[in-house]
Amino acid sequence: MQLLNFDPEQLDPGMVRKRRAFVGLMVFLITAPAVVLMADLHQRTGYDGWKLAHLAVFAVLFSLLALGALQALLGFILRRQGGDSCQISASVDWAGDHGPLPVRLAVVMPVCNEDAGRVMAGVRAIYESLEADGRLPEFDFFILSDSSDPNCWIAEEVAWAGLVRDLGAGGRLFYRKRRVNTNKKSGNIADFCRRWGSHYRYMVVLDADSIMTGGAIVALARMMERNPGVGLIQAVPRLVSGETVFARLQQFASRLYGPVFTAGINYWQLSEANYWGHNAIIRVAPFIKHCSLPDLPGDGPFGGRIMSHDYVEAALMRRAGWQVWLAADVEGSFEECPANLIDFAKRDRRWLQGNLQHARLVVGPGFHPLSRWHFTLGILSYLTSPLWLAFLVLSTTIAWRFKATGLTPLPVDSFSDHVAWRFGTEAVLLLGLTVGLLFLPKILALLDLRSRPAEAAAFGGWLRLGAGILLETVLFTLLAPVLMLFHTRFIGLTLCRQSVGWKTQRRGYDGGAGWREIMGTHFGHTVLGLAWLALAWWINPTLAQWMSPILAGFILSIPVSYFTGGLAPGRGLRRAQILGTPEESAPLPELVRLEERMAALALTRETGPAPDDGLRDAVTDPYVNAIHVSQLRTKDDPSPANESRFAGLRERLLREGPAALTARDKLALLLDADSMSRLHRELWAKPEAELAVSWREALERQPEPEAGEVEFTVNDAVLAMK
Amino acid sequence: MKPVPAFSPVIEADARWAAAAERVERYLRAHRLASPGQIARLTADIIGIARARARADAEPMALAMETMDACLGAWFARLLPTGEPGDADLRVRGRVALALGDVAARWPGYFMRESALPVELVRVMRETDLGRAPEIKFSNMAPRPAAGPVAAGSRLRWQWSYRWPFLRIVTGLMVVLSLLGAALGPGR
Repeated sequence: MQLLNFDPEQLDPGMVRKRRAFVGLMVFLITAPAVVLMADLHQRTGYDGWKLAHLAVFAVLFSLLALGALQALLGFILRRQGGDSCQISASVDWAGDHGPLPVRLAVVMPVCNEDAGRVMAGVRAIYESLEADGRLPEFDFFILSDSSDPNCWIAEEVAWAGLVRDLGAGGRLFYRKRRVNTNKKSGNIADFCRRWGSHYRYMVVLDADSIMTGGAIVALARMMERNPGVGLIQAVPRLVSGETVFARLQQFASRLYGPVFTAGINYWQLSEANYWGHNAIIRVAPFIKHCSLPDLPGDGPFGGRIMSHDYVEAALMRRAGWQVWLAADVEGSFEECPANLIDFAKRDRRWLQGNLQHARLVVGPGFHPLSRWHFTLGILSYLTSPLWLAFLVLSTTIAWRFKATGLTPLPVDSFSDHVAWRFGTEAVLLLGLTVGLLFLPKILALLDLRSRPAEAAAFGGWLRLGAGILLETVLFTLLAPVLMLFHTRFIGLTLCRQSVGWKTQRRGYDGGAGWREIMGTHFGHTVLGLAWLALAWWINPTLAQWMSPILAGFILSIPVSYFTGGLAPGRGLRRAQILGTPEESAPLPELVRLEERMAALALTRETGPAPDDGLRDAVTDPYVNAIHVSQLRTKDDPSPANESRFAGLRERLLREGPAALTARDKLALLLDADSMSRLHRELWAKPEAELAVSWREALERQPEPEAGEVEFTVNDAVLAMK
Repeated sequence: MKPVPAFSPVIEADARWAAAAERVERYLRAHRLASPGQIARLTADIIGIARARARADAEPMALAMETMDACLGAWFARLLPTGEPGDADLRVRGRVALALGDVAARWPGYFMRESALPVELVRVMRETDLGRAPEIKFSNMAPRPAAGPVAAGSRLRWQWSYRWPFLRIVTGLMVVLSLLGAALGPGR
């Protein structure tokens, strides 16, 4: 970060308009020749409706490709020039601003049925980082749980209590479990804001897998303090901790190409940037005042609760006049990524529906034009998949229809007298332009890296970097068509209000999905690829060759999904330093500690928790029970009907075991402090004959005494009672 | 230091009291007490007290655990700054303090002992807790409209189409058939 004395309040609207107009013009100037070339190609063989549709889809897809490449180009140029003069980090005097922050901040982490061990390891890393920087007194931490799985809930409580004990964080690190998960994550944050928001000027919002260094958090806070008109600053999270090939592919690509892209994004977004839902700092008061999410009129898929909240919150913040910035150059912000293609697709399923819902907000009242553009881009990011599929179908149809004529291709001249190119030359030129735009960001990222030899070495050196890029290009080429099919299906299902049914639940097989799930998920893709290949070959072998990279993705989806989701090949690549990143070769202390803790956790975990383990522990274990009960609200005046209902449930739970109760009843008991206290006492006081087998087993599983004798002291407390 | 008794005649008395003693032992182990000798002695003491209070209508196991609870409550009442021995909240706070302070592992010999306790143990029991969240100060966070008139119109269309699933299916089929017809139709 540099000292450039930038003041966002003084941002020149004319300059902002010029930048955006320039980006729009450049996208047009890149897209137009390609569209003209494609139009000319179609003109030479005769126009029809299919070709017009083909041209229209091509224009949309190519313009998005052009926007991506242009962002990388702009980012590259800006970075070569030493950074954008208009970036939020340039507003702070980093050399002179080292004092304590004059306000208290909340670090909030909403969680929902996550791995409690990983959640607390992340919180610990952030906490210790702030502590090491001497910044702890300015921060409170809130773990905001929406976990509905009792196992996760109890595990969170126990892990949190352990963390409070280990860090001495009582009164600074809080845990809250909501009784009702209204509006999911955004509702969870809103609930925090309603209860405790007024205590804090800023909140740093994290995801369950987020890691931020103390330095990054304090840097964001300083930017906020320096700029009272800024409502939200989004830090760019780098992907880390990937073990599988798929995760490593993502973290390698985002780490290598990300810097030029984000610099380019900031060029045109400026004070109308976006919120990505985590690793961001938010000014709490305007967030409370303006960013409560309304329900959209009607019901699904486009109505009801807003599912993808972050874009909307940024738009609402901007609508109220508060600036939203992307801090593209803040170091020390990390997150993790899905380990395999199927989990990635599952995540996209949720995001996709949320983004499609934004179609109703594009025309919402009062939004800044750029907020509308963010909504549109978010929709297009998924809509490109069916468009791409439509483009491929149209290409095949056009070739098929031509074959049906039985004519020999005799293309006529170009529609322009000034273009003397032949049909084949134009086709190759168009292909070259497309491939050039696809590969331009990669080349620019490498050129950008040339100026930082140490970072290039941290990627494993130029040779390994080249191997990584090659592997990443090949694998993403194979993975992208499958994602296209996933997204297209998800959009169709969303429009038909259908949920996606997965063949089996993931069982954590070797970090990836199991064979059965992979086969079930990708069988259709493989069959489609084979059928399409046969059709294309029948129409014209050249068409089959042109489409082979895409069809190969379909046909090889099963082995590629299996290979990229596996831990063993991922670790093999790590040992060979292929697809390595600087965060992996020279990790920050926060990441080292996180990795060590996760490794230790993995050693202590023999198997995953069995159903009802959480409830069993909360009833049986005196410490777990006490921690759990201490977090529940005691009812002052419970109704007799409720008391009677809970008494019956308790009796049945102990006599027949947890399996005899419905999930709802078990949750109701877990939420009732009096019942949990009574259950603990009653369980331990009942003869075995009155307890279900599972409880007898639970009592027998109590910790065994360790070897070694302690000095015995007469228990005078007990004697006194005598 | 007294020798650990090889067996307790109190526990041997009858099967029900033996089962009660076994339960008390387990409960002490559940508190992460590791010393068999100490567990045996504490168990013997608690069973002894329970037997002294025995009533004809009371189940030994229930009585033993009631005594265990009472002993722990009395110990917590002496150690913690607030709370009465019979207070359920006190027992919860006491167990939380035991867990957070790792008392059973750090001071195993002083578990449930009332006098001559190490100063550090007393401090840990008194000061260790999970902490109270900041006082709740409710803020009004009311949503404002975000969807425009076009969105409201689209709502009507969606609702209309969902009320007519048959029409939806027919429309979809017609679109597909039209596309196929255009692709395969004569003159193309």
